[in-house]
Amino acid sequence: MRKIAYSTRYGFMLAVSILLLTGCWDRREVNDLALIIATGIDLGENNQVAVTIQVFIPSPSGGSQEGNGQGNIFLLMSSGSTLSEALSELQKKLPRSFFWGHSKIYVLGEALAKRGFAEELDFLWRDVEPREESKVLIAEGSARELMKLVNEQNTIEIIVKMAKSRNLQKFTLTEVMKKTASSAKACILPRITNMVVMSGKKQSGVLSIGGFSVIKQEKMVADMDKGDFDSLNRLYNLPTYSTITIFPENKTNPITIGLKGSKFHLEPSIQGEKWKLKIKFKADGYIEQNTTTIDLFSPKDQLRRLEANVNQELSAEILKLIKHSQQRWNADILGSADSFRRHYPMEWKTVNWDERYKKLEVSVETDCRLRRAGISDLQQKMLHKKE
Amino acid sequence: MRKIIFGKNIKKKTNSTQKMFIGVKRMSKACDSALSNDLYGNVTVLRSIFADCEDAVFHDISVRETVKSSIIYIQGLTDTAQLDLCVLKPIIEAWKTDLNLSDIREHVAITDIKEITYFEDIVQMITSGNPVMLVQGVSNGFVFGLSKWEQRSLEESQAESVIRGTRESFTETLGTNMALLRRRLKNPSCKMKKMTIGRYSQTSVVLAYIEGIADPRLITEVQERLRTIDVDGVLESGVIEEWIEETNYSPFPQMQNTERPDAAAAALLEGRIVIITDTTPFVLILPTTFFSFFQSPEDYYQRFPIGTAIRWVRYLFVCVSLIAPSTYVAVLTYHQEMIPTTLLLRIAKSREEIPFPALFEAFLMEVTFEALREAGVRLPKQIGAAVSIVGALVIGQAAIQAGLVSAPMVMVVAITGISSFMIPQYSASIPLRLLRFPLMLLAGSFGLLGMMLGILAIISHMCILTSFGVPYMSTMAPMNVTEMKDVLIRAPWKQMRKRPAFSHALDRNRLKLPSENDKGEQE
Repeated sequence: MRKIAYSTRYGFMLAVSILLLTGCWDRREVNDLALIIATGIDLGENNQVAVTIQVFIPSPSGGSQEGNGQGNIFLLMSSGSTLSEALSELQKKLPRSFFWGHSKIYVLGEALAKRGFAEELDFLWRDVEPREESKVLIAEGSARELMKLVNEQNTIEIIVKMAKSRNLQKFTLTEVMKKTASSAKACILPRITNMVVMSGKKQSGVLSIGGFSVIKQEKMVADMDKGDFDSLNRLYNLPTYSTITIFPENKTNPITIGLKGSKFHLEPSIQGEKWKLKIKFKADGYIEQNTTTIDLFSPKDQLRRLEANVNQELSAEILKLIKHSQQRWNADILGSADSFRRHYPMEWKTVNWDERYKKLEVSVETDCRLRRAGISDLQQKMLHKKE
Repeated sequence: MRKIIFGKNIKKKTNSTQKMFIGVKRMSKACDSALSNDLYGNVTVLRSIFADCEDAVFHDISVRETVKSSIIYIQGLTDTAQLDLCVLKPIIEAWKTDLNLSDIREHVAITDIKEITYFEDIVQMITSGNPVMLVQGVSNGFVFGLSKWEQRSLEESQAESVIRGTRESFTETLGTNMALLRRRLKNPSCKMKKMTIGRYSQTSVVLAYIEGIADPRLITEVQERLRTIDVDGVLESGVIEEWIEETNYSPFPQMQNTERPDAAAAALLEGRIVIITDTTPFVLILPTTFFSFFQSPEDYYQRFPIGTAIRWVRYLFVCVSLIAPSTYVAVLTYHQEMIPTTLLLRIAKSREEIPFPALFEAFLMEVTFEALREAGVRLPKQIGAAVSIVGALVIGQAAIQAGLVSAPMVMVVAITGISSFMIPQYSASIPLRLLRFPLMLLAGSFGLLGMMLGILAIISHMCILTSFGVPYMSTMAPMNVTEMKDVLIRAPWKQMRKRPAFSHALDRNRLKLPSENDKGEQE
């Protein structure tokens, strides 16, 4: 022992005691976890918060058996004066500890959304565990009822797929945080509904996105109608593609055009008392269906002519959306407040944005390029022959 | 160019060659004296030295009832047929006609005859299998190079098999091994210096290098270190390796060993030194960097894109073999959010009925795997099949059904087990297999943080190591971008113009200088 250097001895003792004394203090085996997949938050009785969580508790797959048992999905319900209190009530009853690492969606009940959900968001933002990548959704009606309807074995699959889908990429908790902290203080959140599907002879519910709700200052202001939903989809390029239908010749023969890679850019300007906003919208289009007699393959470059029609149509729709946001909801859903603040910091200091936004002069400049006419136009050829 | 700084810790001990015959000296004080004219006296001395040596044969040759000569050899180490035919027969014939024959060398039909005058040398010659002939009235002994013993024929390499490449491998016989090297480097500048190490074993050790390529300072240093070896026996090159390496306290080998003559020849051409030890097919190659262990001879024989790709697969699986089980433990114990949800749900299901924590589970399986591997190596070949059947049960479905381990753990252990054998050099895979266990412990107590600390400790240890003054992590640390041609990739032969820098070769150019090539083309 005497021969071993003191530093080695103490180093060894230190290493061993660090390893053994800490004793895996925050070790948490998978077996001890109740994985929270989805959380529903509702307005309960007496202004309390009613929380519904969907947890996965694995059931043993039983050795080499097929192991198809998906485990068990439990819907746990509780209420309390705050969200965290309601959750800790649940935790007391459950031997397994909640694990938020795989929580996919937070569903806010409609009633709660209308009252305002700032307090609930505070818990989700403040606590370390709830995941910032989870998607925030607004339920149509009560979140609890919605989750009851879809509480089935393969729900997890659906929720996981849904949370991964491109449509929801922009609606994470982080994104809500950013929008709330931005100058516009407004955002949109997807509205989730129960779509009835038939599997075999059984009816079952599937969660699907039904539209958007307009949120202003952590409070739901309105639901968007179908037209606004579509134009917002196009603007944000939300689904992998969206379509627009135009009538270039007459009211009966439409052309449907798919849009891809759409982008928009805001150009604010202040001229005296007038605050102007120019929305520059760019997209690539391709012909999906053509019921007219226009020969899109002709050397006369019909596609370029169509572009004008498309641009006009798109501009009108976007303008309509902005008009609605100004007049109906008074919510700056595109976040133009930030671009004004950046370009005109001096003017921004004195402005009352809520008032100003209503009076904003908005113009839309659309640049949609039609890139492809499809692979054949047999239908048009036959029409021409008949004529 | 950096200077080679050789290890300072090697103390110069008293010249061990002087001590070599201590054992023999005890038997006879006359050992280092010279031979006398008297045959009877000489034979008596030798008989006393070889007393109780049943295998030492003393054969007296009498002509007309007077003992004229005596031949001493060790049974089994000498080619007696040749001895009878080329020595005994002609000499007896000659003595029959001329009794006063003085120079027997004129009559012996053997190329290798030496004359020696000291008992010390005679004893050494006899023990290494050369028969010695003592003649009445002559104060010299005649040594015939007729040593021959049962030896293994050249076989295919067992430890480093390749698909394309030479099938020969080194054997236990030093002479054969030297010949195998010489056949590949037919040039007198390929030098082979012989030394004898081991007081009792008297093992011949040959230092091979190419004059004009290998750094002379390196050669001197190696010789110096070999001289300091003071042991009773060198039974394998591993003994020499431990004696001459800089750091004993490291799991990492600081010298390469190979039984492939082509690998040894390639090392010589790189300006490195090869140490061949008698009685073992494993030769040592030095100096060595960590990345040399990932270079299989076959990389250089197959086409270079394949060589490169396979090298990358090796690097990948080395990482897997080191960190796969600990990552599994860390992620499953501390960082469950890192696993994709669907996978986690599956793992959670399979782990549900396992009574042990992930760390214990991993230890259990890894130790079992190591035990199986060790058993597979040690067990007699006849039982090998039984072991593999039991092994498949232990690491496999049965273990899962018994509820001891989960299916993903078995997968992790299996992939780890496979990947540790991806390294062409067996000796380099041992430290990785060993270090897996502390890493697992760290992962189990501190999660990924602990694992990273462990990996940092391993990397810094490797950066401290040197092999004959060459930093162990050479070409990465210190970084040398041009050398990457043989580390990250296997460049085409035409592109590998220079020998590796770490060997400090005198002549760095493998190919003719580009300028010379140009001249040739112009002419």
